Amino acid sequence: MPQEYDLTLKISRYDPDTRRSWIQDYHLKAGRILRFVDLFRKINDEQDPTLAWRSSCEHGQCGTCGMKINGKPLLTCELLVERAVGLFKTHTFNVEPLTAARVIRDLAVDLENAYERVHFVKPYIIARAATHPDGDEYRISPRTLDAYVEATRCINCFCCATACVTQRNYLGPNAVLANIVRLMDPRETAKEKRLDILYGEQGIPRCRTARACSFVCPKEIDIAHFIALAKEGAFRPEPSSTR
Amino acid sequence: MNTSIQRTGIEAYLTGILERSEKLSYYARAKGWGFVMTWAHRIAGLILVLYMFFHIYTLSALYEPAVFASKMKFVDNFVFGFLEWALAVPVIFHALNGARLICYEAFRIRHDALMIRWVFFLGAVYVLTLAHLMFMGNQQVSAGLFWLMVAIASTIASSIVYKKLRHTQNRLLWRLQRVSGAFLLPMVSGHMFFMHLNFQAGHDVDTITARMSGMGIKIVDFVFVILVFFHAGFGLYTIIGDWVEDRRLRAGLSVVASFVMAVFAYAGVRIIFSM
Ligand code: SF4
Ligand code: SF4
Repeated sequence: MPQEYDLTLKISRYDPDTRRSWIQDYHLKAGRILRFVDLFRKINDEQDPTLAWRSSCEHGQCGTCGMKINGKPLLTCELLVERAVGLFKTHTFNVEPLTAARVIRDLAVDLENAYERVHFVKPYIIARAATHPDGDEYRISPRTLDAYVEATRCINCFCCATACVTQRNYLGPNAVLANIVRLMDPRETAKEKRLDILYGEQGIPRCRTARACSFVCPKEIDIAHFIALAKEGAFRPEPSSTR
Repeated sequence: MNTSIQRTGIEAYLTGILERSEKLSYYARAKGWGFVMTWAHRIAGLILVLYMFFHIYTLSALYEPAVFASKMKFVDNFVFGFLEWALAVPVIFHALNGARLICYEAFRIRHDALMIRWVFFLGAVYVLTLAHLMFMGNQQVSAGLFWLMVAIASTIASSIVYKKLRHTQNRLLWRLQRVSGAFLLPMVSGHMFFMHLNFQAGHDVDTITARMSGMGIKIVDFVFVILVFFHAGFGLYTIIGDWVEDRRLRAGLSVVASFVMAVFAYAGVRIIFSM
Protein backbone atom coordinates (compact mmCIF):
# COMPACT_ATOMS: atom_id res chain seq x y z
CA MET A 1 0.00 0.00 0.00
CA PRO A 2 1.62 3.29 -1.08
CA GLN A 3 2.20 5.88 1.64
CA GLU A 4 1.60 8.70 -0.78
CA TYR A 5 -0.56 9.04 -3.86
CA ASP A 6 -0.20 11.23 -6.95
CA LEU A 7 -3.69 12.60 -7.35
CA THR A 8 -5.47 14.69 -9.93
CA LEU A 9 -8.53 16.58 -8.78
CA LYS A 10 -10.73 17.90 -11.58
CA ILE A 11 -12.70 20.52 -9.72
CA SER A 12 -15.83 22.27 -10.98
CA ARG A 13 -15.31 26.00 -10.65
CA TYR A 14 -17.89 28.76 -10.91
CA ASP A 15 -17.34 32.48 -10.72
CA PRO A 16 -20.62 34.26 -9.86
CA ASP A 17 -19.24 37.65 -10.98
CA THR A 18 -18.58 36.56 -14.54
CA ARG A 19 -20.98 33.56 -14.42
CA ARG A 20 -18.24 31.48 -15.94
CA SER A 21 -18.04 27.74 -15.21
CA TRP A 22 -15.02 25.61 -15.93
CA ILE A 23 -13.17 22.51 -14.77
CA GLN A 24 -9.76 23.11 -13.22
CA ASP A 25 -7.18 20.37 -12.78
CA TYR A 26 -5.04 20.28 -9.63
CA HIS A 27 -2.19 17.80 -9.27
CA LEU A 28 -1.02 17.03 -5.78
CA LYS A 29 0.69 14.43 -3.67
CA ALA A 30 -1.25 13.26 -0.65
CA GLY A 31 -0.80 10.79 2.18
CA ARG A 32 -3.24 7.91 2.39
CA ILE A 33 -5.15 9.07 5.46
CA LEU A 34 -5.66 12.66 4.36
CA ARG A 35 -9.34 13.50 3.93
CA PHE A 36 -10.71 15.33 0.90
CA VAL A 37 -11.27 18.47 2.98
CA ASP A 38 -7.53 18.32 3.75
CA LEU A 39 -6.83 18.17 0.02
CA PHE A 40 -8.89 21.31 -0.60
CA ARG A 41 -7.06 23.06 2.22
CA LYS A 42 -3.75 21.94 0.73
CA ILE A 43 -4.78 23.38 -2.63
CA ASN A 44 -5.75 26.67 -0.93
CA ASP A 45 -2.40 26.78 0.88
CA GLU A 46 -0.08 25.64 -1.88
CA GLN A 47 -1.69 26.26 -5.24
CA ASP A 48 -4.83 28.33 -5.41
CA PRO A 49 -6.30 30.41 -2.57
CA THR A 50 -9.33 31.30 -4.69
CA LEU A 51 -10.86 27.83 -4.63
CA ALA A 52 -14.07 28.09 -2.58
CA TRP A 53 -15.48 25.16 -0.62
CA ARG A 54 -17.32 24.66 2.66
CA SER A 55 -16.95 22.68 5.83
CA SER A 56 -17.74 23.22 9.47
CA CYS A 57 -17.45 20.46 12.07
CA GLU A 58 -15.33 18.12 9.90
CA HIS A 59 -16.59 15.21 11.97
CA GLY A 60 -19.46 14.09 9.78
CA GLN A 61 -22.06 15.74 11.99
CA CYS A 62 -23.03 19.05 10.41
CA GLY A 63 -23.58 18.10 6.77
CA THR A 64 -21.81 21.18 5.36
CA CYS A 65 -19.07 19.54 3.31
CA GLY A 66 -21.22 17.40 1.01
CA MET A 67 -19.93 17.19 -2.59
CA LYS A 68 -19.97 14.81 -5.51
CA ILE A 69 -16.78 12.82 -5.93
CA ASN A 70 -16.78 10.89 -9.19
CA GLY A 71 -20.53 11.33 -9.24
CA LYS A 72 -21.11 10.05 -5.70
CA PRO A 73 -22.56 12.51 -3.22
CA LEU A 74 -20.73 12.17 0.11
CA LEU A 75 -19.25 14.06 3.04
CA THR A 76 -15.72 15.07 2.04
CA CYS A 77 -14.64 15.25 5.69
CA GLU A 78 -15.22 11.50 5.90
CA LEU A 79 -13.54 10.47 2.68
CA LEU A 80 -9.94 9.38 3.08
CA VAL A 81 -7.66 9.39 0.03
CA GLU A 82 -6.96 5.71 0.46
CA ARG A 83 -10.66 4.86 0.62
CA ALA A 84 -11.45 6.99 -2.42
CA VAL A 85 -8.72 5.24 -4.45
CA GLY A 86 -10.12 1.85 -3.40
CA LEU A 87 -13.73 2.82 -4.02
CA PHE A 88 -13.31 4.44 -7.41
CA LYS A 89 -10.21 2.52 -8.52
CA THR A 90 -8.52 5.62 -9.86
CA HIS A 91 -6.20 8.44 -8.82
CA THR A 92 -8.23 11.02 -10.74
CA PHE A 93 -11.32 12.47 -9.11
CA ASN A 94 -14.05 14.70 -10.47
CA VAL A 95 -15.14 17.03 -7.70
CA GLU A 96 -18.48 18.76 -8.15
CA PRO A 97 -20.87 20.68 -5.90
CA LEU A 98 -24.13 19.06 -4.78
CA THR A 99 -27.07 19.59 -7.11
CA ALA A 100 -29.64 20.01 -4.33
CA ALA A 101 -29.25 23.81 -4.37
CA ARG A 102 -27.80 26.55 -6.54
CA VAL A 103 -24.06 27.02 -6.55
CA ILE A 104 -22.75 30.17 -4.88
CA ARG A 105 -19.13 29.74 -5.91
CA ASP A 106 -17.04 26.72 -6.94
CA LEU A 107 -17.99 23.93 -4.53
CA ALA A 108 -20.13 25.98 -2.17
CA VAL A 109 -23.90 25.68 -2.58
CA ASP A 110 -26.62 27.82 -1.06
CA LEU A 111 -27.76 25.65 1.85
CA GLU A 112 -30.41 28.22 2.83
CA ASN A 113 -31.99 27.53 -0.52
CA ALA A 114 -31.71 23.76 -0.03
CA TYR A 115 -33.26 24.02 3.46
CA GLU A 116 -36.40 25.66 2.06
CA ARG A 117 -37.74 22.21 1.19
CA VAL A 118 -37.01 20.92 4.69
CA HIS A 119 -38.72 23.94 6.25
CA PHE A 120 -41.71 23.34 4.01
CA VAL A 121 -42.47 20.06 5.78
CA LYS A 122 -42.18 21.68 9.24
CA PRO A 123 -39.52 19.38 10.71
CA TYR A 124 -40.74 20.03 14.25
CA ILE A 125 -43.82 18.98 16.21
CA ILE A 126 -46.71 21.02 14.85
CA ALA A 127 -49.30 20.04 17.48
CA ARG A 128 -48.16 18.34 20.67
CA ALA A 129 -49.93 15.38 22.18
CA ALA A 130 -50.70 15.60 25.90
CA THR A 131 -47.97 14.42 28.24
CA HIS A 132 -48.37 11.47 30.58
CA PRO A 133 -50.84 12.20 33.44
CA ASP A 134 -48.25 11.23 36.07
CA GLY A 135 -45.65 13.71 34.98
CA ASP A 136 -44.67 16.22 32.34
CA GLU A 137 -42.62 13.91 30.19
CA TYR A 138 -43.61 11.91 27.13
CA ARG A 139 -43.37 8.16 27.25
CA ILE A 140 -42.55 6.45 23.99
CA SER A 141 -42.26 2.70 24.02
CA PRO A 142 -38.90 1.31 22.85
CA ARG A 143 -40.73 -0.60 20.13
CA THR A 144 -42.32 2.57 18.75
CA LEU A 145 -39.04 4.43 18.92
CA ASP A 146 -37.10 1.60 17.30
CA ALA A 147 -39.27 1.86 14.23
CA TYR A 148 -38.07 5.39 13.41
CA VAL A 149 -35.03 6.25 15.53
CA GLU A 150 -32.73 5.52 12.59
CA ALA A 151 -34.43 8.27 10.60
CA THR A 152 -33.73 10.83 13.32
CA ARG A 153 -30.01 10.56 12.57
CA CYS A 154 -30.40 12.71 9.45
CA ILE A 155 -28.04 15.70 9.41
CA ASN A 156 -29.51 17.31 6.27
CA CYS A 157 -26.37 17.02 4.23
CA PHE A 158 -28.47 16.79 1.02
CA CYS A 159 -26.39 13.92 -0.37
CA CYS A 160 -29.57 11.89 -0.84
CA ALA A 161 -31.34 14.77 -2.57
CA THR A 162 -28.39 15.04 -4.95
CA ALA A 163 -28.31 11.29 -5.70
CA CYS A 164 -32.08 11.00 -6.22
CA VAL A 165 -33.33 10.26 -9.75
CA THR A 166 -35.98 12.94 -9.33
CA GLN A 167 -34.31 16.32 -9.32
CA ARG A 168 -37.32 18.52 -10.03
CA ASN A 169 -40.77 19.09 -8.54
CA TYR A 170 -39.86 16.92 -5.55
CA LEU A 171 -39.30 17.85 -1.91
CA GLY A 172 -36.41 15.39 -1.90
CA PRO A 173 -35.69 12.34 0.25
CA ASN A 174 -34.44 14.16 3.36
CA ALA A 175 -37.39 16.57 3.52
CA VAL A 176 -39.81 13.69 3.01
CA LEU A 177 -37.95 11.78 5.72
CA ALA A 178 -38.24 14.70 8.14
CA ASN A 179 -41.98 14.62 7.61
CA ILE A 180 -42.12 10.85 8.12
CA VAL A 181 -40.15 11.11 11.38
CA ARG A 182 -42.90 13.31 12.82
CA LEU A 183 -45.59 11.02 11.41
CA MET A 184 -44.02 8.15 13.33
CA ASP A 185 -43.43 10.28 16.40
CA PRO A 186 -46.33 9.72 18.84
CA ARG A 187 -45.83 13.20 20.29
CA GLU A 188 -47.12 14.72 17.05
CA THR A 189 -50.88 14.98 16.52
CA ALA A 190 -51.04 16.92 13.25
CA LYS A 191 -50.94 13.71 11.24
CA GLU A 192 -53.52 14.71 8.63
CA LYS A 193 -51.58 17.81 7.71
CA ARG A 194 -48.42 15.75 7.37
CA LEU A 195 -50.14 13.11 5.27
CA ASP A 196 -51.36 15.83 2.89
CA ILE A 197 -47.77 16.96 2.37
CA LEU A 198 -46.52 13.40 2.08
CA TYR A 199 -48.96 12.32 -0.62
CA GLY A 200 -49.09 15.75 -2.28
CA GLU A 201 -47.80 16.55 -5.75
CA GLN A 202 -44.26 17.24 -4.54
CA GLY A 203 -44.25 14.36 -2.09
CA ILE A 204 -43.80 10.62 -2.46
CA PRO A 205 -45.56 10.26 -5.83
CA ARG A 206 -42.28 11.65 -7.19
CA CYS A 207 -40.16 8.90 -5.62
CA ARG A 208 -39.18 6.17 -8.09
CA THR A 209 -37.84 3.70 -5.50
CA ALA A 210 -34.38 3.90 -7.05
CA ARG A 211 -32.89 3.68 -3.55
CA ALA A 212 -30.00 5.93 -4.50
CA CYS A 213 -30.82 7.93 -1.36
CA SER A 214 -30.25 4.92 0.90
CA PHE A 215 -27.15 3.99 -1.06
CA VAL A 216 -25.36 7.30 -0.53
CA CYS A 217 -26.58 8.37 2.92
CA PRO A 218 -23.48 8.92 5.08
CA LYS A 219 -25.57 8.17 8.17
CA GLU A 220 -26.65 4.85 6.65
CA ILE A 221 -30.33 5.67 6.92
CA ASP A 222 -32.44 3.47 4.68
CA ILE A 223 -34.53 6.40 3.47
CA ALA A 224 -36.19 4.39 0.70
CA HIS A 225 -37.52 1.98 3.34
CA PHE A 226 -39.31 4.80 5.16
CA ILE A 227 -40.71 6.21 1.92
CA ALA A 228 -41.92 2.74 0.94
CA LEU A 229 -43.68 2.45 4.33
CA ALA A 230 -45.65 5.53 3.34
CA LYS A 231 -46.50 4.06 -0.06
CA GLU A 232 -47.63 0.87 1.61
CA GLY A 233 -50.03 2.90 3.77
CA ALA A 234 -48.28 2.30 7.08
CA PHE A 235 -49.04 5.80 8.40
CA ARG A 236 -52.79 5.73 8.37
CA PRO A 237 -53.92 8.12 11.07
CA GLU A 238 -54.84 6.50 14.36
CA PRO A 239 -55.40 7.82 17.86
CA SER A 240 -52.24 9.10 19.57
CA SER A 241 -50.43 6.46 21.60
CA THR A 242 -48.30 8.77 23.71
CA ARG A 243 -50.28 8.33 26.85
CA MET B 1 -32.17 -1.20 8.25
CA ASN B 2 -28.51 -0.93 7.48
CA THR B 3 -28.12 -1.22 3.74
CA SER B 4 -24.42 -2.03 3.60
CA ILE B 5 -25.04 -5.77 3.41
CA GLN B 6 -27.32 -5.26 0.46
CA ARG B 7 -24.79 -3.02 -1.27
CA THR B 8 -22.10 -5.64 -0.96
CA GLY B 9 -24.50 -8.33 -2.12
CA ILE B 10 -25.46 -6.53 -5.28
CA GLU B 11 -21.98 -5.37 -6.03
CA ALA B 12 -20.38 -8.74 -5.47
CA TYR B 13 -22.81 -10.32 -7.88
CA LEU B 14 -23.10 -7.81 -10.65
CA THR B 15 -19.92 -5.80 -10.58
CA GLY B 16 -17.94 -8.46 -12.40
CA ILE B 17 -20.31 -8.43 -15.36
CA LEU B 18 -21.33 -4.82 -15.47
CA GLU B 19 -17.98 -3.28 -14.63
CA ARG B 20 -16.98 -3.96 -18.18
CA SER B 21 -19.22 -1.04 -19.04
CA GLU B 22 -17.45 2.01 -17.70
CA LYS B 23 -20.55 4.18 -17.78
CA LEU B 24 -22.77 1.69 -15.95
CA SER B 25 -20.26 0.96 -13.23
CA TYR B 26 -19.63 4.69 -12.78
CA TYR B 27 -23.30 5.23 -11.95
CA ALA B 28 -23.56 2.00 -9.98
CA ARG B 29 -20.62 3.00 -7.81
CA ALA B 30 -21.90 6.54 -7.42
CA LYS B 31 -25.59 5.89 -6.83
CA GLY B 32 -26.12 2.15 -6.56
CA TRP B 33 -27.60 -0.48 -8.85
CA GLY B 34 -31.11 0.59 -7.92
CA PHE B 35 -30.41 3.89 -9.67
CA VAL B 36 -29.16 2.09 -12.79
CA MET B 37 -32.20 -0.21 -12.69
CA THR B 38 -34.54 2.78 -12.50
CA TRP B 39 -33.05 4.33 -15.61
CA ALA B 40 -33.08 0.98 -17.40
CA HIS B 41 -36.76 0.62 -16.41
CA ARG B 42 -37.53 4.01 -17.89
CA ILE B 43 -35.63 3.42 -21.10
CA ALA B 44 -37.23 -0.03 -21.54
CA GLY B 45 -40.64 1.60 -20.96
CA LEU B 46 -40.00 4.24 -23.61
CA ILE B 47 -38.89 1.55 -26.11
CA LEU B 48 -42.12 -0.31 -25.40
CA VAL B 49 -44.24 2.80 -25.93
CA LEU B 50 -42.64 3.31 -29.34
CA TYR B 51 -43.11 -0.35 -30.16
CA MET B 52 -46.79 -0.19 -29.16
CA PHE B 53 -47.33 2.67 -31.61
CA PHE B 54 -45.61 0.63 -34.33
CA HIS B 55 -47.60 -2.48 -33.39
CA ILE B 56 -50.95 -0.70 -33.65
CA TYR B 57 -49.85 0.84 -36.94
CA THR B 58 -48.94 -2.53 -38.47
CA LEU B 59 -52.08 -4.19 -37.10
CA SER B 60 -54.21 -1.45 -38.63
CA ALA B 61 -53.26 -2.97 -41.99
CA LEU B 62 -55.52 -5.90 -41.05
CA TYR B 63 -58.40 -3.83 -42.44
CA GLU B 64 -56.89 -4.65 -45.85
CA PRO B 65 -55.64 -8.23 -45.64
CA ALA B 66 -53.59 -7.96 -48.85
CA VAL B 67 -51.65 -4.98 -47.49
CA PHE B 68 -51.08 -6.79 -44.18
CA ALA B 69 -49.85 -9.91 -46.00
CA SER B 70 -47.38 -7.88 -48.06
CA LYS B 71 -46.14 -6.11 -44.91
CA MET B 72 -45.64 -9.45 -43.21
CA LYS B 73 -43.72 -10.70 -46.23
CA PHE B 74 -41.39 -7.74 -45.83
CA VAL B 75 -40.67 -8.57 -42.19
CA ASP B 76 -40.43 -12.31 -42.79
CA ASN B 77 -36.64 -12.58 -42.61
CA PHE B 78 -33.87 -13.29 -40.12
CA VAL B 79 -33.23 -9.65 -39.16
CA PHE B 80 -36.87 -8.96 -38.25
CA GLY B 81 -37.14 -12.36 -36.59
CA PHE B 82 -34.17 -11.43 -34.44
CA LEU B 83 -35.64 -8.01 -33.63
CA GLU B 84 -38.93 -9.64 -32.67
CA TRP B 85 -37.06 -11.88 -30.28
CA ALA B 86 -34.87 -9.01 -28.98
CA LEU B 87 -38.01 -7.05 -28.14
CA ALA B 88 -38.59 -9.60 -25.40
CA VAL B 89 -35.59 -8.15 -23.52
CA PRO B 90 -37.12 -4.73 -22.69
CA VAL B 91 -40.55 -6.33 -22.30
CA ILE B 92 -39.56 -8.88 -19.69
CA PHE B 93 -37.09 -6.56 -17.98
CA HIS B 94 -39.73 -3.83 -17.57
CA ALA B 95 -42.32 -6.36 -16.39
CA LEU B 96 -40.11 -8.15 -13.85
CA ASN B 97 -38.44 -4.99 -12.59
CA GLY B 98 -41.88 -3.45 -12.17
CA ALA B 99 -42.86 -6.48 -10.09
CA ARG B 100 -39.73 -5.99 -7.98
CA LEU B 101 -40.70 -2.35 -7.35
CA ILE B 102 -44.25 -3.34 -6.38
CA CYS B 103 -42.84 -5.97 -4.00
CA TYR B 104 -40.64 -3.30 -2.40
CA GLU B 105 -43.26 -0.56 -2.24
CA ALA B 106 -46.37 -2.49 -1.33
CA PHE B 107 -45.30 -5.78 0.24
CA ARG B 108 -42.29 -4.70 2.30
CA ILE B 109 -39.94 -7.09 0.52
CA ARG B 110 -36.62 -5.47 1.32
CA HIS B 111 -34.24 -8.11 -0.06
CA ASP B 112 -33.61 -5.86 -2.99
CA ALA B 113 -30.22 -7.34 -3.95
CA LEU B 114 -31.81 -10.76 -4.21
CA MET B 115 -34.77 -9.36 -6.12
CA ILE B 116 -32.46 -7.74 -8.67
CA ARG B 117 -30.80 -11.12 -9.22
CA TRP B 118 -34.21 -12.69 -9.75
CA VAL B 119 -35.11 -10.04 -12.31
CA PHE B 120 -32.00 -10.93 -14.32
CA PHE B 121 -32.32 -14.68 -13.82
CA LEU B 122 -36.01 -14.96 -14.72
CA GLY B 123 -35.54 -12.48 -17.58
CA ALA B 124 -32.72 -14.62 -19.02
CA VAL B 125 -34.79 -17.81 -18.67
CA TYR B 126 -37.70 -16.13 -20.44
CA VAL B 127 -35.79 -14.79 -23.45
CA LEU B 128 -33.86 -18.05 -23.88
CA THR B 129 -37.13 -20.00 -23.77
CA LEU B 130 -38.51 -17.75 -26.48
CA ALA B 131 -35.42 -18.34 -28.62
CA HIS B 132 -35.81 -22.07 -28.10
CA LEU B 133 -39.46 -21.92 -29.15
CA MET B 134 -38.57 -19.96 -32.27
CA PHE B 135 -36.04 -22.59 -33.31
CA MET B 136 -38.42 -25.44 -32.54
CA GLY B 137 -40.99 -24.10 -34.98
CA ASN B 138 -44.76 -24.21 -34.61
CA GLN B 139 -46.25 -25.60 -31.39
CA GLN B 140 -49.82 -26.70 -31.07
CA VAL B 141 -51.66 -25.12 -28.15
CA SER B 142 -55.26 -24.44 -27.38
CA ALA B 143 -55.50 -20.66 -27.73
CA GLY B 144 -58.66 -20.55 -25.61
CA LEU B 145 -57.10 -22.46 -22.73
CA PHE B 146 -53.85 -20.50 -22.97
CA TRP B 147 -55.56 -17.12 -22.76
CA LEU B 148 -57.89 -18.27 -20.03
CA MET B 149 -54.88 -19.22 -17.90
CA VAL B 150 -53.15 -15.92 -18.63
CA ALA B 151 -56.31 -13.93 -17.89
CA ILE B 152 -56.73 -15.75 -14.57
CA ALA B 153 -53.08 -15.10 -13.63
CA SER B 154 -53.44 -11.41 -14.54
CA THR B 155 -56.66 -11.06 -12.59
CA ILE B 156 -55.16 -12.69 -9.50
CA ALA B 157 -51.96 -10.60 -9.64
CA SER B 158 -53.81 -7.31 -10.09
CA SER B 159 -56.38 -8.18 -7.41
CA ILE B 160 -53.64 -8.85 -4.85
CA VAL B 161 -52.01 -5.49 -5.57
CA TYR B 162 -55.36 -3.70 -5.61
CA LYS B 163 -56.28 -5.19 -2.24
CA LYS B 164 -52.97 -4.11 -0.73
CA LEU B 165 -53.09 -0.53 -2.01
CA ARG B 166 -56.84 0.09 -1.91
CA HIS B 167 -56.93 1.81 1.48
CA THR B 168 -53.70 3.77 1.19
CA GLN B 169 -53.70 7.51 0.61
CA ASN B 170 -51.67 7.25 -2.58
CA ARG B 171 -53.28 9.00 -5.51
CA LEU B 172 -55.79 7.01 -7.52
CA LEU B 173 -53.79 7.03 -10.76
CA TRP B 174 -50.62 6.08 -8.88
CA ARG B 175 -52.41 3.05 -7.46
CA LEU B 176 -53.90 2.18 -10.84
CA GLN B 177 -50.42 2.24 -12.34
CA ARG B 178 -49.34 -0.52 -9.94
CA VAL B 179 -52.56 -2.48 -10.41
CA SER B 180 -52.31 -2.27 -14.21
CA GLY B 181 -48.62 -3.23 -14.00
CA ALA B 182 -49.51 -6.34 -12.03
CA PHE B 183 -52.18 -7.20 -14.61
CA LEU B 184 -49.81 -6.66 -17.51
CA LEU B 185 -46.96 -8.81 -16.17
CA PRO B 186 -48.65 -12.15 -17.02
CA MET B 187 -50.54 -10.60 -19.94
CA VAL B 188 -47.59 -9.12 -21.84
CA SER B 189 -45.21 -11.99 -21.14
CA GLY B 190 -48.02 -14.42 -22.10
CA HIS B 191 -48.69 -12.47 -25.28
CA MET B 192 -45.06 -12.67 -26.43
CA PHE B 193 -44.88 -16.30 -25.43
CA PHE B 194 -47.98 -17.10 -27.46
CA MET B 195 -46.62 -15.31 -30.53
CA HIS B 196 -43.41 -17.34 -30.34
CA LEU B 197 -45.23 -20.65 -29.87
CA ASN B 198 -46.59 -20.39 -33.34
CA PHE B 199 -45.08 -18.13 -35.97
CA GLN B 200 -48.38 -17.91 -37.86
CA ALA B 201 -50.10 -16.50 -34.77
CA GLY B 202 -48.80 -13.00 -35.45
CA HIS B 203 -48.10 -13.06 -39.16
CA ASP B 204 -50.88 -14.83 -41.04
CA VAL B 205 -54.06 -12.83 -41.65
CA ASP B 206 -56.40 -15.84 -41.51
CA THR B 207 -54.85 -17.17 -38.30
CA ILE B 208 -55.03 -13.75 -36.63
CA THR B 209 -58.60 -13.15 -37.75
CA ALA B 210 -59.70 -16.60 -36.59
CA ARG B 211 -58.03 -16.15 -33.22
CA MET B 212 -59.50 -12.72 -32.62
CA SER B 213 -63.04 -13.60 -33.64
CA GLY B 214 -64.07 -15.17 -30.30
CA MET B 215 -65.80 -12.90 -27.79
CA GLY B 216 -63.65 -14.17 -24.91
CA ILE B 217 -60.40 -13.18 -26.59
CA LYS B 218 -61.89 -9.85 -27.66
CA ILE B 219 -62.63 -9.01 -24.03
CA VAL B 220 -59.15 -10.06 -22.92
CA ASP B 221 -57.52 -8.04 -25.70
CA PHE B 222 -59.75 -5.05 -24.95
CA VAL B 223 -58.70 -4.93 -21.30
CA PHE B 224 -55.11 -5.55 -22.37
CA VAL B 225 -55.05 -2.62 -24.81
CA ILE B 226 -56.76 -0.20 -22.43
CA LEU B 227 -54.40 -1.05 -19.57
CA VAL B 228 -51.28 -0.98 -21.78
CA PHE B 229 -52.04 2.53 -22.98
CA PHE B 230 -53.09 3.71 -19.54
CA HIS B 231 -49.88 2.32 -18.08
CA ALA B 232 -47.76 3.85 -20.84
CA GLY B 233 -49.59 7.18 -20.58
CA PHE B 234 -49.16 7.40 -16.83
CA GLY B 235 -45.50 6.42 -17.20
CA LEU B 236 -44.99 9.31 -19.64
CA TYR B 237 -46.92 11.62 -17.32
CA THR B 238 -44.58 10.82 -14.44
CA ILE B 239 -41.49 11.34 -16.62
CA ILE B 240 -42.86 14.72 -17.72
CA GLY B 241 -43.59 15.58 -14.08
CA ASP B 242 -40.08 14.63 -13.03
CA TRP B 243 -38.42 16.79 -15.66
CA VAL B 244 -40.54 19.78 -16.58
CA GLU B 245 -40.62 22.51 -13.97
CA ASP B 246 -42.91 24.96 -15.71
CA ARG B 247 -46.48 24.17 -14.61
CA ARG B 248 -48.17 25.18 -17.85
CA LEU B 249 -45.73 23.33 -20.05
CA ARG B 250 -46.08 20.29 -17.81
CA ALA B 251 -49.86 20.40 -18.07
CA GLY B 252 -49.69 20.93 -21.84
CA LEU B 253 -47.32 18.03 -22.41
CA SER B 254 -49.41 15.78 -20.16
CA VAL B 255 -52.54 16.59 -22.17
CA VAL B 256 -50.72 15.84 -25.43
CA ALA B 257 -49.38 12.53 -24.07
CA SER B 258 -52.85 11.52 -22.80
CA PHE B 259 -54.42 12.45 -26.14
CA VAL B 260 -51.88 10.42 -28.15
CA MET B 261 -52.39 7.41 -25.86
CA ALA B 262 -56.17 7.72 -26.14
CA VAL B 263 -55.96 7.82 -29.95
CA PHE B 264 -53.79 4.70 -30.09
CA ALA B 265 -55.95 2.92 -27.52
CA TYR B 266 -59.02 3.74 -29.61
CA ALA B 267 -57.29 2.47 -32.77
CA GLY B 268 -56.38 -0.75 -30.96
CA VAL B 269 -59.90 -1.30 -29.65
CA ARG B 270 -61.34 -0.64 -33.11
CA ILE B 271 -59.10 -3.29 -34.63
CA ILE B 272 -60.15 -5.81 -31.96
CA PHE B 273 -63.86 -5.33 -32.51
CA SER B 274 -63.68 -5.15 -36.29
CA MET B 275 -62.22 -8.68 -36.60
S1 SF4 C 1 -31.00 11.29 4.93
FE1 SF4 C 1 -28.79 10.87 4.97
S2 SF4 C 1 -28.04 11.65 2.99
FE2 SF4 C 1 -30.06 12.51 3.30
S3 SF4 C 1 -29.69 14.49 4.21
FE3 SF4 C 1 -30.03 13.04 5.88
S4 SF4 C 1 -28.00 12.33 6.45
FE4 SF4 C 1 -27.81 13.30 4.46
S1 SF4 D 1 -35.87 5.90 -3.49
FE1 SF4 D 1 -37.06 7.66 -4.05
S2 SF4 D 1 -36.25 9.32 -2.84
FE2 SF4 D 1 -34.71 7.68 -2.79
S3 SF4 D 1 -33.34 8.18 -4.50
FE3 SF4 D 1 -34.90 6.85 -5.25
S4 SF4 D 1 -36.44 8.15 -6.13
FE4 SF4 D 1 -35.17 9.39 -4.79
